[in-house]
Amino acid sequence: MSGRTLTIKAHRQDPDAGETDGHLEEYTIPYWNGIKVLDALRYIQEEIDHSLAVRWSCRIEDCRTCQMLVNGKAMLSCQIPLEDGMRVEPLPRFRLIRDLVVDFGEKMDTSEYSKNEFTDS
Amino acid sequence: MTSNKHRQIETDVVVIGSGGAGGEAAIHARKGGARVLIVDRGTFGRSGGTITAGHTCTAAVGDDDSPELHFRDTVIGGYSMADQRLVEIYANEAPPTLYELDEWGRGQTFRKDENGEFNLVWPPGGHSRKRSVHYGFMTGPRIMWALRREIQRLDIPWMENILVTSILTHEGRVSGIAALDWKAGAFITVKAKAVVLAAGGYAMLWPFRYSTNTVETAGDVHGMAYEAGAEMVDMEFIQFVPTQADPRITHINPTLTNFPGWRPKLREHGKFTNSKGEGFLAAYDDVRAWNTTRDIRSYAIYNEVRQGRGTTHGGCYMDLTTVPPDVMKHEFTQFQGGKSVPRSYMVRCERVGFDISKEPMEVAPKAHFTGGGVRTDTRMMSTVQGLFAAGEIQGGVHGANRLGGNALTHVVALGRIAGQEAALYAGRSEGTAVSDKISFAEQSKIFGWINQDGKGESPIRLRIEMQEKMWDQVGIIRNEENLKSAISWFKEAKADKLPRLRLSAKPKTFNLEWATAVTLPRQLDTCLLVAQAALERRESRGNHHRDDCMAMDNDNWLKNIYLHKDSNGAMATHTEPVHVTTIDPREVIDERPHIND
Repeated sequence: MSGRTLTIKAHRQDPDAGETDGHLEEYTIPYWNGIKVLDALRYIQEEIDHSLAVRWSCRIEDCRTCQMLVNGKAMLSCQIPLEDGMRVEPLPRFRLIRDLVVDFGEKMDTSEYSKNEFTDS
Repeated sequence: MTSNKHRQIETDVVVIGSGGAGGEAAIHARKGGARVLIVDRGTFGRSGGTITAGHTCTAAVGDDDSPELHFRDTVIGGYSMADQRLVEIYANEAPPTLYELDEWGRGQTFRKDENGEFNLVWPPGGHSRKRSVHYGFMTGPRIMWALRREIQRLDIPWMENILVTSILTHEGRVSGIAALDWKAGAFITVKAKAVVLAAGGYAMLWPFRYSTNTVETAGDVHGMAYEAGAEMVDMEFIQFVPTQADPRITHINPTLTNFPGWRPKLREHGKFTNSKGEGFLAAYDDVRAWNTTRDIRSYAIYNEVRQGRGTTHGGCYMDLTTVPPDVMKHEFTQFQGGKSVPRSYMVRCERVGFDISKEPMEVAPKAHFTGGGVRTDTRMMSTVQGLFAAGEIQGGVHGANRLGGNALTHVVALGRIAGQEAALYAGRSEGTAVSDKISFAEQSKIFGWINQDGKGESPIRLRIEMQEKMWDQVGIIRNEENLKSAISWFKEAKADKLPRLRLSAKPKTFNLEWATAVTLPRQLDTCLLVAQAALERRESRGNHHRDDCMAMDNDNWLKNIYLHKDSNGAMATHTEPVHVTTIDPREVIDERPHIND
């Protein structure tokens, strides 16, 4: 590692904790040859702030779950080489779960079940 | 707030995982008349290994082929370690399963020739017939597309981001599952008559940089099955496969590295060298050299690295710079009509400034497929009543090495049967109640993490340490000293380190640190299963290499290792001679791939 660093700004917001607006938080990442946007986000999660929410799975463009807005455009974060000062935000038009993660859904047909209920316990 | 909610669901069959095996199992359980629910820790229909499978899906559908030949190749390729009863079913069921998958994709799941038959290509080393059914280099995603279509058509309910934490049992029978909905931060129990485990392998127990897998195959469900009383088999057999190691191009499907290995012209003009520029594969397999099986290629590369002849990123070079430009162009752009990959591999390499024809590519072995898992009978049921296993989590199907192209077939062909059998079982079963006491204890344990105060090590740190331990001491080349050291480390981590872990992140939704804390104890159990099995097998066979017992020992080790939790809670081991139907393991010894002395 050369000692060179890059910065990335990530959208942070926890709607479950009542946050109606998000903010961009800036992180400094060590640079390595070949680093992608997702590598930077995983680096943040493992080394800087364990609370960052990011969805990813395959790292090789097949699952398409790491999609997010990179500098305002929907991209697969695993494929995009990291550039200094990049901005990452969650996909619009989906319900935001937290930070960069949106809700892709659930399919429940309650008529199929004799019991499918919430109880406080 | 959702944190204290307990969501209770009741169904007949719950399927854990929505990849190739989970999809097939859910569809066939539904068709068998059962109420089915799919839960996935990741994203529905996009998690797990199937979607990343680049190319081949093998089935004996060619005119010169037969399930008997496919069976034979698989058994020989697995160094006679596979359970032949399962391989027989797998080889016989493969063709009808693939025809059915093709129907689910409106006859367009796989590529066809001009007569409308499956277009067959040669699978990677070890197969004696041309038997790869494919959709260019997008076979895995295509299979998932067909499965999602059929799941949707049948209206099968599914939930995503459901992290299963326990398989619930009552008097030796399965009664359901407990889980954390880590999207909502809620506790869930599903009461079910049958549970199908389709959660994939455990290749992510190794450091992420040394694994080709998707993040879901964390190996914790194996520990859960073991805890629930299931017997585990073949846990020592891990397939490491050489893939590109230069971080500039690790975002490309590993098939990029395998592809030249099957193309005679690329092999003829290209080179596979260590950091000293020496070709070395022939020294490990003088017959097939570059086209050798994956276990030998991985062993060879790792051994070169160990001897100080490795590259910066722990590998060797695959050098295509000596391939004439016209051959390169033809191979990479005209292959299978030039559709999809590997042309797109070239494009993606170019995008990051890597020219595969001008620069040698670093290639290093990574954990790719895990041959061990839950022991099943021929109905795919484990030793726990009502607990089924489908796909990579099922052990015993491939033995000591898996041939390329056999994984997709295994997960869909046997997943299909697991679904059918789970529905039959559920139809006959009354089901048992999920005890309130047990589910309350489970909920308290899970939410204990988030409610706990104080400072301590993060579970994420311990997970990384565990993975590094697996790479250093339970990796490609093993020995007694390292395995024993690893076992005591895992035991100590369970006893001393786990209780001291604390979360620094307290959000209730999509909290990776919380999910890691919940998963880690199970993962440590699975690490122990792998290390223990590797310690027991005092020989080298297939992808299990011991540098303190290098020889394959057919006199003592034509048997499988089984592990289960005994009544005192201790790990018990026993062996059984390999289960044979028609091939005597001794008869095929000379046909097996070998490592040169």
